[in-house]
Amino acid sequence: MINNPEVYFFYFFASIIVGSALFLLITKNVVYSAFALLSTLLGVAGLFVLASADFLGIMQIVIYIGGVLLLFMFAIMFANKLTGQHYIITEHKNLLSGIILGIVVFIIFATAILNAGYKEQLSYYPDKGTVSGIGVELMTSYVLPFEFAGVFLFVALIGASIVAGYLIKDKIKK
Amino acid sequence: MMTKGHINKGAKNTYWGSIAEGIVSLWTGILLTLKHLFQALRFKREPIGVENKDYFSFDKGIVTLQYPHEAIPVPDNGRYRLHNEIDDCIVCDLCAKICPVNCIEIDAIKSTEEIGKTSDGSTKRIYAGTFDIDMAKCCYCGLCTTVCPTECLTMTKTYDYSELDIRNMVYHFTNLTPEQAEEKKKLYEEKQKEKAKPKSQEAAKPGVENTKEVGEKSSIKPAFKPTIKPPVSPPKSAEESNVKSEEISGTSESGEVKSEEKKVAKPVFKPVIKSPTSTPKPAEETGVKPEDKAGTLDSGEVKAEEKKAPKPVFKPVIKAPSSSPKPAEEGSEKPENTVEPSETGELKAEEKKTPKPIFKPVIKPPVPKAHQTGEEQADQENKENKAEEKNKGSEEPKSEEVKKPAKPIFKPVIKPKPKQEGEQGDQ
Amino acid sequence: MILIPVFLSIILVYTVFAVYAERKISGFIQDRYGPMEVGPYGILQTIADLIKLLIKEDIVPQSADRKLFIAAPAIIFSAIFAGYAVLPFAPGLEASRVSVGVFYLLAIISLDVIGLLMAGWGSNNKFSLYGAIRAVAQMISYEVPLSLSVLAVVMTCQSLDLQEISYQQSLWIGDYSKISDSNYLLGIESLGINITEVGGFLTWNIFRNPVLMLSFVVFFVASLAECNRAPFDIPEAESELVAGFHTEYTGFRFAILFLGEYAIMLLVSFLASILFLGSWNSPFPNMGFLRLADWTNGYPGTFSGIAWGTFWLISKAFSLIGLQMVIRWTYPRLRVDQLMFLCWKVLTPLALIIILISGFWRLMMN
Repeated sequence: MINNPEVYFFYFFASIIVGSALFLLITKNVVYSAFALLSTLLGVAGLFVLASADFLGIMQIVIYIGGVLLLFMFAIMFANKLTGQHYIITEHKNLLSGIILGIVVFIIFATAILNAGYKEQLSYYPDKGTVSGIGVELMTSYVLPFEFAGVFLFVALIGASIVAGYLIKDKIKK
Repeated sequence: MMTKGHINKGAKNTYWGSIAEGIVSLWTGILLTLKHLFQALRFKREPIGVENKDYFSFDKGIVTLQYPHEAIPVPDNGRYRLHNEIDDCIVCDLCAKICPVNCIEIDAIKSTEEIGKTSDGSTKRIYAGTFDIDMAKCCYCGLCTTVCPTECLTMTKTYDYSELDIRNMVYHFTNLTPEQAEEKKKLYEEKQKEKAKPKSQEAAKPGVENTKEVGEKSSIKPAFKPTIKPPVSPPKSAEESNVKSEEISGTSESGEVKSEEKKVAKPVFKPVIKSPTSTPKPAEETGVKPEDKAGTLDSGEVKAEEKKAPKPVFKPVIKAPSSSPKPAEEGSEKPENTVEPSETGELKAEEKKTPKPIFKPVIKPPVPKAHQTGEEQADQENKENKAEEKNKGSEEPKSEEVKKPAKPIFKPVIKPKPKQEGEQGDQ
Repeated sequence: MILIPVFLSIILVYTVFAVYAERKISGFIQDRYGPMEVGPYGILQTIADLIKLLIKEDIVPQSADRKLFIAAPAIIFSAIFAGYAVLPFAPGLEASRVSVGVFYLLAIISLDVIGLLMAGWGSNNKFSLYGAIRAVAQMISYEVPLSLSVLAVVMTCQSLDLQEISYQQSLWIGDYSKISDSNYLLGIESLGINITEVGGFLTWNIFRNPVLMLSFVVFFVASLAECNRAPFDIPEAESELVAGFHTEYTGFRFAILFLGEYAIMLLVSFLASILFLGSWNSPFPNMGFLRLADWTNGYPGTFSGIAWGTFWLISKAFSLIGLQMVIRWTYPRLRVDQLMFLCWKVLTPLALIIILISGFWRLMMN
């Protein structure tokens, strides 16, 4: 098992994820934590690709890095503008309770994953890409949640434009 | 495309109109640049000057030249780097005076005897201790070449002479090494000492020499006089008008209490000025004489003023002393004031009109001092005469050393002599 | 792995000559010569510039965020360079055949955005920050029409695999494509004109599905914006922002950023050629006894196949880059509101319509 090179890649990505996640927690500089989040997400994407879920890995990059993380950074930058500081410095409060909470959550996840029996179900190891399979599944078995997600996003889009539009209208009135 | 072309500009800012206009204008734009792109590959401009009749025929392709390798020839009247042929230079300092940006620096050293002749026969009596032209300051107006009496200062066609160090832009034209210049200076000073007793004459001479030279130039070169006169004559008319108008104003406008006094004062005053000025002048100046002689009272005034006019710094100083003697003469205070304004007003007006910048150089400030000291004894008339003479003398040679020693004590003495020597020079 | 240094050197040489070409093209458009002194016709000018750039002092501004400032160029360039991993240069020649190649390239561009933001933020300079914010706003916005126009191609080819898309536009669609086995004129089977053996430009995607011509225009415009190229160069608008996000960069770091800029130009040009312009296929069709397509294409896997494929792909990409350069020196920079107008009100609706039509077209294909 150790001979398999994928194992090394796994440990590589895992160490990136854990290391940058720890850095994210420890650093007091919000901008640094945002960039630490970047490498965490990249590591997760790498793990997905390693698990032959390349579509999911790319999705991870496009959505979380290209979308969410960028919005984070925008928010950080503009907040920074408002406070007038160069950096936002965070504080570590309730360190003890945080650690306890983290350990509890970790234990819950670990037991859940270990008891779920993924290993037994993972007999199927996809050889070719997962794209067509995902597409077929989305349009057949999971079409309802897919459509719901679409509707939710559409609603969010309209809501955002209405909120922004009201602001503009108010300005025009003034 | 054609149908879209019919749409109004921006199509009244409608959505489709803007898009259509955008597409059309993008298409037109890229065709234009592509046309230039391909023309540039095929055509290029030849390095010919504007005097060539093909100059305007290169309307396609590359318009630039690869400069160091090819260049458009400089036209014959191009004004670029200055060059002074020092062997022909009489160090008259005219170029330095006329220079609007003061880029010419001349240190004139009197010689004890005649140095030689220029190629056009003028006599050289002054060494150029320094003759530096700072081409970094030069504005290429060409005035110095116009004013140069021996035409030794010319503008060449060399235009590509940039330097890494701006100090290298100062061109030295003197043919004397600093040691030689020092030597000449000493030589001259020794000679001066020798003639310590007849100093007055000696001191006067340099100025005289200058005037001689001017005289020579004017007599030899017909081209020279016209350059002097034109600037002289237009100011006159202006001054005359000023004078008249002010006289009139003096009578009519300012005729409050002092109007009569003024009237009285002026007529009395002016004749006094003019008669002395007019008489010496003819003797002194060659080119200006006819006018003086022909001159009525007005013209006499005018000339006096003309010459004064060049000195912006000088006159104000003169008036102050002149006013002090007046009170003694004319009793009441008001007359003094009135007299001064009328004269000074005239003078000032003229000063303003005449080109000051040329005359400002350092030389004048010393002059007024000399005047004040000398004038305490003398009358206004004398003062004015002196002023005129100084101007005449200083305008051309302008060497400060000469004047400074000469003026304080000698002015009364100077006047007669310059006239004689000037005449001699003319002859 | 072997391809990494190959690609790297290709990018380096390409950048050197692209900069030269850009200066020459701009010169000719403006009726000038451009560089002429270094080497014959100034061809070594960029190399001289590069040497100058490399021996310059490497300055990190005192109040800059040192870590981010130093990391940003590396992130930008490595993100863009990673994009080359999935490009099929010739039949059988690609660094990695990924089933989600197209998607991967789009993701790469969003990584590039992060790098720009890092550079702009790390410089601690208002011009850099403005440049970065503008760059991010612009690139995120233009990812929408870009992705939609690519989606039209993906719908037509029914694959995200760039090599599969290339094979579908080639003479060997029957042997190598996993999805379809023959090409018809304009892609419509009911017309009954089988052009599988004809090849040439007729089997390019923009002719298999003519709607993709419009999609190509959308893609090209959006890719200009993604590269921050004029007329969409407001992130580094030199007349307002000095140089945008790379204002503070000097020497080697600036060279890397510059390299990244030209590398992404090449990347999107490759992508456009692969998606729309027949990838590594020759533009000449077989006409009767004139077997132009056969003559100018090599069989997959053979040396001639690789040589011809690389040649055609690179020449197509370079033509597109030439077009980008002409456009840069033709069109004025867009205002921010015009930029957003073009993106959201023109290109995005157009791309959506294109997707709709190409969906119907796909139904007619086979």
